[in-house]
Amino acid sequence: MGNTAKMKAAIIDLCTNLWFENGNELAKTNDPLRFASKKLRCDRALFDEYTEYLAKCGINALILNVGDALRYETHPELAVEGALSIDEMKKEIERLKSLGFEVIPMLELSTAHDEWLRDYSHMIATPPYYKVCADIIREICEIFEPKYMHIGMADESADYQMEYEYMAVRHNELWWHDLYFFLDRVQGEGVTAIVYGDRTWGRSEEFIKGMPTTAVIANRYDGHLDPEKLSCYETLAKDTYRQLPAYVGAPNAQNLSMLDEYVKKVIPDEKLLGCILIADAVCDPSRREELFAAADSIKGI
Amino acid sequence: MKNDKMMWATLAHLGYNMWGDENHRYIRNTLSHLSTQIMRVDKKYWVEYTNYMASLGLNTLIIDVGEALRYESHPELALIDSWSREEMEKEIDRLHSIGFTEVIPKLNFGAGHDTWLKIYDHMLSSSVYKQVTADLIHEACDVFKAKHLHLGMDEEHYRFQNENRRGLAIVRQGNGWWRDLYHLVDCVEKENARAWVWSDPIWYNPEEFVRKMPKSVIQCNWYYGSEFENPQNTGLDHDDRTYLECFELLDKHGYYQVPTGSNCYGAEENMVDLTKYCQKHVSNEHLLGFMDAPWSAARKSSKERQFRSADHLAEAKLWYETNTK
Repeated sequence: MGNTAKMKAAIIDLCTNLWFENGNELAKTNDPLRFASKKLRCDRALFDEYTEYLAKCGINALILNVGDALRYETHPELAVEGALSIDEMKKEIERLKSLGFEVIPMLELSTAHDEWLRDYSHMIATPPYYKVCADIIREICEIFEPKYMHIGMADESADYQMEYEYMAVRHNELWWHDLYFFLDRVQGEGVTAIVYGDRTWGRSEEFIKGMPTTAVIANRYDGHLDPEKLSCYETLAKDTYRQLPAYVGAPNAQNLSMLDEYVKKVIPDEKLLGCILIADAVCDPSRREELFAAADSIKGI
Repeated sequence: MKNDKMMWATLAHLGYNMWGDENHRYIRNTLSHLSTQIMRVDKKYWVEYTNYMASLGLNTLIIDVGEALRYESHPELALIDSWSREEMEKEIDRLHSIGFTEVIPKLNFGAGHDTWLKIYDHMLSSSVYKQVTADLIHEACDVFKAKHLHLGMDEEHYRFQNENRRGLAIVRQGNGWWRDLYHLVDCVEKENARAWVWSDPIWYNPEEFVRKMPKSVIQCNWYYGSEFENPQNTGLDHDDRTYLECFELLDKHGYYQVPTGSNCYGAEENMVDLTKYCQKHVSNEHLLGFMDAPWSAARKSSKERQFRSADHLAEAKLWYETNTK
């Protein structure tokens, strides 16, 4: 992004209870970080080092996937062992700002990534679920005082959850109903919502009909040249959505450059707010190499 | 040796909100099995139907209760015309008086068949769900004075909850399913009753099934087809062969069974042929009886199918009693 006013954001998963249940025997992966844990899995020293490196790489915004990494005043039952207190989170936000970052909170509210909601992830679309979501969105906004908040909503399909012990998929208008509920809560705090764009894959007509243009769309690209996913950038641009293309980094550095050129061509400059780097790794020492490689991959963009 | 206390059972529906959601805004296509806000039982016909079954010597009635009972522990589940506890108890007394030696409640807790649970069908495996299911099992056992309770738990696959059927699809998989099953079985056994389940999970993962399914749970494997040739060397399709082989597999692993047939797919000879097949392939020791499941609401419009179905079960009973030592 030649324009320095554009956002160059990186997502960091403070919360890692986003995929398989603890003890899940169906999952084919051997990656222990993909299974839920009762403990916070963000290594403090690595987090500090990584965030400083991201700043050096030109990243100017951090999207913190908070989930169960914060001890909410309204719902302390969600916190993992080692979760940050509200004061600790506020101090961290100040430190990150001092490094030059805009700090954007994220709560991944897709049913494919909500293991962190514990019992409430088994209460989708019920009054207790709506209450907990509303409460924590409000609390997050109070703590972060953000301009943007990322609400995720990725991968909510049966195919994605075939190895989960608890598959939950909202269909049709229920998915939209819940999305509107979340958007209403975020926008009610005077904050702009960022939503992943995969709902547009294969059903762009429905997406454009349903998605308010007030939301910023983060369409993801993982380096595999999928014409349909790529064309969504253009489709969304035609329909006046503001976009933050999300690049899955590290092994696809060359593709990222090509993608960057592509999105600049198809998305009008005023609608292209910047980009998001998804390192797809948590701040665990075993992932150090991947994290830093992902950061390097975005240097040229 | 022949079991003299064989159950000749029919599955009859008082509750019928078992499949799709109500025809509300989350569902785009119509479906015959959408849930409704009133019961789909013609009371006069129900009496006629049950009297007919009793007159044929059928001795067991399994009632899919669902939303048909106004549970005192959870009145929020009731429809406007759900039966009170007193009405249900009176009906159970009547059923006993006409010759049913056992009236067994069925509460289907399969995630694809639980719209009768209303809001709780969005809360599977949660702490709330565990409490509600415990309450309902306790109350059903109390009202029916049940020695057995059928827990359903069949067809828990995404295809039964796709976007034409449900606003929210929930599927418990692997140990997620087993944990809830163990909880439900535990609830039944605390009431000094015996749990039943549909056996279709064995079709997909027999090794896991025999490893994890308690022997105390009665198995209802079902087969509704018309082909009964030796599954090892005939043209039976793969699925039919699997369904049939599982009667023997269950027996081999020591499970007690109530094999289930139906004329719902038009195989009118199914019930008699299934009885003959299972008499040959399931040991007397493990064969507790047979069940007929016509899969239709208790309404006069279903009379023809349901009466024929009852006739088939009576014929099967006669054949079994004549041909089994």
